[in-house]
Amino acid sequence: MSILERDIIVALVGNPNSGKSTIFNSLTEANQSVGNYPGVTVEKKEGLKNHRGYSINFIDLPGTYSLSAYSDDEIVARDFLINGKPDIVINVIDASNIERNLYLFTQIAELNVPIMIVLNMIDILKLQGKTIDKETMSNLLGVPIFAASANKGIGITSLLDYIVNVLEEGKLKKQMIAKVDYGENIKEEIDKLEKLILKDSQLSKFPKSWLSIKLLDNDPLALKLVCEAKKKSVILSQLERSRSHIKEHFGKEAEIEIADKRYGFANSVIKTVVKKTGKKKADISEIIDNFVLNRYLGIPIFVLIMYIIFKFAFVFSEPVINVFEMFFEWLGNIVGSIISEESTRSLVVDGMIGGVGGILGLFPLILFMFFAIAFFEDSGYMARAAFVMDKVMNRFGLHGKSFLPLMISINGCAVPGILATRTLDSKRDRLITMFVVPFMVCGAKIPVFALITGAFFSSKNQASIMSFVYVLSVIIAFVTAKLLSTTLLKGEPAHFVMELPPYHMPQIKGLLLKMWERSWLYLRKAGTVVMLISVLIWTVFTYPKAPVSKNLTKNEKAMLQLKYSLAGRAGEILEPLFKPIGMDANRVVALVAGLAAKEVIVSTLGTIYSIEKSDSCNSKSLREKIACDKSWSPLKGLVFLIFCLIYTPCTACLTVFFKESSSSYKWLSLIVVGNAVFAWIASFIVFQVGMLLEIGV
Amino acid sequence: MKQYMGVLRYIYGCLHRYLAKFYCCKDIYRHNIHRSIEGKSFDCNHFRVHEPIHGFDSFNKDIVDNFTKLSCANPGKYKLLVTYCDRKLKYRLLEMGFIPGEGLTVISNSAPNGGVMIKIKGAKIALSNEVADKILVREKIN
Repeated sequence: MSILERDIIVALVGNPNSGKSTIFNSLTEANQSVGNYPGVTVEKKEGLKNHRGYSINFIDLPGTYSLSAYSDDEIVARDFLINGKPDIVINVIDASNIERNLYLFTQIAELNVPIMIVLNMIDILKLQGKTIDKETMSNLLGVPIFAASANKGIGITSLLDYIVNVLEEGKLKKQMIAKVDYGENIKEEIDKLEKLILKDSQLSKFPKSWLSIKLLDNDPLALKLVCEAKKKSVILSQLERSRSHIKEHFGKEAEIEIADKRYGFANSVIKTVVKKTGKKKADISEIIDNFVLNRYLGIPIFVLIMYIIFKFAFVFSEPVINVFEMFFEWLGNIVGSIISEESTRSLVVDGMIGGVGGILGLFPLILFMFFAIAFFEDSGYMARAAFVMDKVMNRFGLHGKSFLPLMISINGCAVPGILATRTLDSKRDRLITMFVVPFMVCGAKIPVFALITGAFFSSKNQASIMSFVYVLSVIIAFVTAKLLSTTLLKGEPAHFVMELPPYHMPQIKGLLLKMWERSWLYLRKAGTVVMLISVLIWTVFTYPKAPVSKNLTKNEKAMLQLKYSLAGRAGEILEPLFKPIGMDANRVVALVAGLAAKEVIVSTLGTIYSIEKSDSCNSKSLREKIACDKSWSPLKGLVFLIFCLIYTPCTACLTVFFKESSSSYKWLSLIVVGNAVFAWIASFIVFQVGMLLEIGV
Repeated sequence: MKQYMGVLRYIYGCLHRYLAKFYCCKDIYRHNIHRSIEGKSFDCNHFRVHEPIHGFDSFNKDIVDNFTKLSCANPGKYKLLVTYCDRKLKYRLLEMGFIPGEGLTVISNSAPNGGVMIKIKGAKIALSNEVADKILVREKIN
């Protein structure tokens, strides 16, 4: 019973798409995502569960095909299994794809950790007309097995009971796990290496047979371990001999022979365990794929589905957004009437409620958007979409999988977009994608564009101008990607090899979890960064106070105050720089404030124009004020719009970018300065050409 | 008996390797060299290109008729011969079940404008044209 007196650590391992995350979700009910899109779980996730007096700590490791060291996911999984000392490792095996899943099992078995198998998707195996003999498999592998079906979910309590029972009975203590028989020749070489490893004090703490197999496997991390050891020359020379011996004997490289033996083991298990019972039912995935992946229909269907996602988000979120807006207006009025003191009232109503309300107003749109994306991800379409888009993306130096981060950012938020680039294998592809993600028209930029188009273009043209902005953003992103891939980040996108999982109906719970996890990032930004910035901006515009002189009208006083305030002064200093692109101090201030968060641009303009009440306009809404202000013109509006589209992303985005680009100052400065310069040049060209041709002056 | 088997295996291995060298058509070879210099990965297996063997016409014909790159393969059943080039990709393919000798089915092929979809070890896998270019297969004769 000694093992159970402390907390139990349970690690979940499995192939991508094995339903591992679904099991993890139902076990822990944590904020954690499930997905068909490979690499959803990039870092290990933890969830705590109390059961029968034990506190069980579940750790969800990234889905991998093997425990080699060629991608970050694999390294995370493998490091935890070796160094994390889990009490029990649950290997989730997809019964409908058992051969490849057992390949991973053979590798875990070599690590000498206590293993239990959860055999998932038994129902799908039945659809294929097969059954599996659980008992025989358990005896054969020497591992306890628990069966679960994919869509009905698993009996959580029964699985928890099973885990606790297995531990209580101490079944795992003397576990004899079946290991792959590599044959006499390889075994000899393994023994030779093992002996050398045992003699080395540093290396002997690792499972010795595992390490020697990994060495024969030419595993980079294992080689690195050896290179750091004291007896490296002896081991390396023995390794060289062993590898060449195996190559001579089998006529192929050691890693191929080892993989062959592992698959052979998996195959022999299947032959004894899986029985054909009935006829295979028609495969729906096959039929859908015929259309979705069709040479000619593929891209049109992709465009259609993207359209459905956007349409869904817009149509369903509209009434909710209206309610939100009404609520914030009502809240502003209520709070305004409660607080009597003028400066505090303006701080709370204009600064806090106005600023945060601007973001929260868009929150329903983002929620619905992420729900739709999660639906297509979990159903298995997104993997196909990446395949369909690969060729197109390749032309611009991007990878097929790059399109998902871009998708998340359009109307969503660039922060989860940048986080989603973790699914990309190569560092180069990741950097390029992260760099272009902020160009997308994110949820925060929509109010800015809506304001400008609303003010300067007739209602007939507004829709086309807005869609022009979307197209423009995509063009800018692709051109930048191409530019980067031909200059700073030379090379070709990583190879595209991806498993296409069978389609299935997503579970609502998983969708909601995923939706919430992504939107939470956005919401948190609204609650913290934007709230702070709104207050800061309000302060910068109100202080220091202008000297009071009695013979001035109210409007003149306000103008004087704006000139006196910190923001006004900063705007004046920066104004000459922005004159060639047709901007005045007000807009410069708004743009600078927009560095905090793009939605702040609108609220800043609102603040400025509410302080500065011009005589010619008596209208109330910001849109009308801008429309009749003489310092604006349609051309200037367009230039402002283009500048907003391209210039430096918001601080939240920059923070994530910095963190995800492995804290590289080089890339941070490039995205901060480069984008600003790029925006200036683009605006300059548009403005000067417009002035020359006298369009919309 | 065991030694005898070893010798047989050795001969099979040599033959296998020899065939693999032989069947890499010229353009794959050039393609690989080109890529490896460009991408600065000299990790590739440098296969030597052989001209058809003089006097073994049926043998040469068999190679031309039955051996293709995966990117050129029509839908149907094949046997995998070799995958080449950089270690990372090779290993990735290996762990997904691309082992020499393994049977695979090409479901659809829209290379070079698209990718190749295959079924191997019961799972559907999508490969881009570039990857498919590096896989050599032999048509399965029933």
